[in-house]
Amino acid sequence: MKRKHSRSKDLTAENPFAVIDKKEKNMKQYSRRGVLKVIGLVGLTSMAGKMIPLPRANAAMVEPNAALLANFIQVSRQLTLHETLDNTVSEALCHALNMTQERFFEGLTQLKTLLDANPDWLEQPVLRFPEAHVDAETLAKNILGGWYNGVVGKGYKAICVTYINTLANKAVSDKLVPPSFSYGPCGSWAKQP
Amino acid sequence: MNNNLSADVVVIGAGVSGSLLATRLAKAGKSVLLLESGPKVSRDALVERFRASAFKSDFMSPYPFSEMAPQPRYTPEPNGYLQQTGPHAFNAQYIRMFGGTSWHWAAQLWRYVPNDFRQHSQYGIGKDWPIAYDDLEDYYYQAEVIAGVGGAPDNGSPRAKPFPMDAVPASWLQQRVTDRLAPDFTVLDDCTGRNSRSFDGRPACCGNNNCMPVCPIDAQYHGGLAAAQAEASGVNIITEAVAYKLEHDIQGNIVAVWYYDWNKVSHRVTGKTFVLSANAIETPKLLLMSVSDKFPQGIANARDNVGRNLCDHPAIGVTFDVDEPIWPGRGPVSPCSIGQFRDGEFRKEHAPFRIDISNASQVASVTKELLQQGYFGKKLEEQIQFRAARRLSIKNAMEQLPDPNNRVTLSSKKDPLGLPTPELYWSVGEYEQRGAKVTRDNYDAIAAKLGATNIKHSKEGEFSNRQHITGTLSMGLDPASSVTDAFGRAHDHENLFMVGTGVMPTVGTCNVTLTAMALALRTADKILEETQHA
Ligand SMILES: Cc1cc2nc3c(=O)[nH]c(=O)nc-3n(C[C@H](O)[C@H](O)[C@H](O)COP(=O)(O)OP(=O)(O)OC[C@H]3O[C@@H](n4cnc5c(N)ncnc54)[C@H](O)[C@@H]3O)c2cc1C
Ligand code: SF4
Repeated sequence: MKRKHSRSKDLTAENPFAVIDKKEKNMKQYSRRGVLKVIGLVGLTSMAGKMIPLPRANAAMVEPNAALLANFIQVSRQLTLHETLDNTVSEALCHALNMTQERFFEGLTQLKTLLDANPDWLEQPVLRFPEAHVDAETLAKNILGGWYNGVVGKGYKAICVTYINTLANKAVSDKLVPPSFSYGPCGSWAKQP
Repeated sequence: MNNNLSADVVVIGAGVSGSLLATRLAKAGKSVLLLESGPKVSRDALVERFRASAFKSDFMSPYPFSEMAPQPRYTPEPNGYLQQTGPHAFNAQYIRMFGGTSWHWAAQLWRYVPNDFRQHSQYGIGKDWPIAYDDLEDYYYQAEVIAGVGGAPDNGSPRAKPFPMDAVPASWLQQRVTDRLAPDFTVLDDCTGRNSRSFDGRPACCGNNNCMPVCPIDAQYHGGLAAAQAEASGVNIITEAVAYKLEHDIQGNIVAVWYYDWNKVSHRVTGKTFVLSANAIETPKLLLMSVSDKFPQGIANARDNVGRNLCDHPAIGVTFDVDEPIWPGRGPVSPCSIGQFRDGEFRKEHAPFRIDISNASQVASVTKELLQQGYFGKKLEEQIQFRAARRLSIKNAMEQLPDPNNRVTLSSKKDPLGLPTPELYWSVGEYEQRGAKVTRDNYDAIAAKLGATNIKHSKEGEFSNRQHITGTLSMGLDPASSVTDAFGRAHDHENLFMVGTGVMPTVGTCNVTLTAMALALRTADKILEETQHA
């Protein structure tokens, strides 16, 4: 029997041994290729400084327009307390969150309204929204996760949007470089940082 | 089907063990054919895949998965390739690719201590090896020269010659931990195959802190380099070639190996000598699949020993925040360890162990933790800086005694080539549970000396794998209780040898690959000696 098999096919995310569940079907719906383009996005754009257009992930998905993107940037500023945020990363995160979270823009608009109406929520040491708004709190944490660890989505839907440009890496950049980048000549790490 | 493939020696599996053996045989003039089930992927492609991965803490994630040569995966969810039937999950990680599993490793290349080879006669537990430390000393050195190993000279394993490489300088973390734990705990440089100067055409380590899952500059030795060297030495390597059956003659000698290419076309390869080096789980699988009228339980399995005595280091861990900034993430990930519990009279009572101190960057994991706790804004960044500077992670390599009930068998599940997937039964016994208790007490003592807060032990009764898979092809003098003889030859098949960690009867307290490399070189010499006389 001769099987058709493409050698160049990247099967990293596939799991031929597990029962194909709903999550995996979803994963296939928005296509690995689309995801990989997002992955490539910031790596490329952060160096080349230009944006690669993303394919429409699925027909029903709302694409971010300028107003939605502006909302995303504003919420991101409120949560990170960074006045200036990298535009390319913003756009890529917004796309990726839209691909991985159901009704992302609806949730984002709701989160923005809540934060605008309740500035004291951001004066506390940690995010703890009232029980009725636990979904908004989760979304806020997911947005922060994107900025600080560069990853959005969970399980088979997880997407790495940026690596070197995460805010966590920036927060420690006076002491550390991201793993897989050179620290310095052999032994330079012997000194007190 | 291609029936014309033939060589003096046919080797199965292009990991570090098979590649070293193949190189030595080819350099001595043998024709060698090496079958490798996985693809060939370049280092730079792997580094790119690491940087693009959403699962950076999973060392498997940069390595491409193919359903034609499946490997266990655990992220984002376990793929169930290894069927677990025992009380403890044996979550083995291995890579099926040109170069094998040591693509993602810390290149810790330790020797066993002499008493590991005579454990039963010395302490009345476990097994004795059919060889002694002295039989391996020179082969240890040969392997160290190939890999460029450096380390602390006085580490319990006597040496006739100094290390071929100076150790990579200690990070600030290592210096502080060493000073503060003395004199109760002695922190030693790990023995590692990591360049502190340019060596063998590769550069000195420049502290990328990514030794696991892939060194971006090849400053550390790994199986991909060994396989490339085999190819350069004239070994004929066929990748995407999945061996699935050994064929024998009437006397029980092996005459051919059959493999599927990735289009499921079958090929038959003949040879005079056969060497299995497909790792300690896939090699038993191949033997168990190779059934015939004469050997209904599989090749080399007349006495039902293949796949038994599956061992690893059942590990427990601890993390805490040290009371001063030590900044893990600068320099190699796995630089030092505490070796004083590796040997002694206490081995009669509980498992010995080594304590590994990690220097892997903690930035991503503390950030995740802080986000879960709800931190945001400036406070989040202050806390990232604070915890990433102080978080220390420690785990042990604890010896497990060989138990014949712990084993690899064939499951009823099939992969897309129609080959059965491995089934594992693994249980961690009383001896190891007592060792875990002693380890835990020492973790607390270490934490106290470092002024630790936020101490988190791994869950009591749970053990993680250290990926040091041994025992399943155990060498021994008695065919009733072992699979291979002292050179890795199958007891019942004159021209069939096995190399890799599976032939090691016990797991000791250190990373096992240097011993497997030394044994593979020794087996190569044995094959040369016999076939040259023939
Ligand atoms: C994350 C991690 C870190 C580690 N760190 C260390 C460390 O620091 N020090 C240390 O000593 N050890 C370490 N190890 C263990 C080490 O990687 C293994 O001991 C070592 O790779 C074993 O070498 P091997 O050649 O026997 O097998 P492998 O490296 O597993 O090679 C076996 C080869 O056989 C091939 N194969 C399998 N089935 C078939 C088939 N049917 N047909 C053809 N080919 C086949 C595979 O594709 C593979 O290439 C680590 C392991 C892991 C997972
Ligand atoms: S620290 Fe970096 S350069 Fe050194 S061995 Fe590890 S990954 Fe390679």
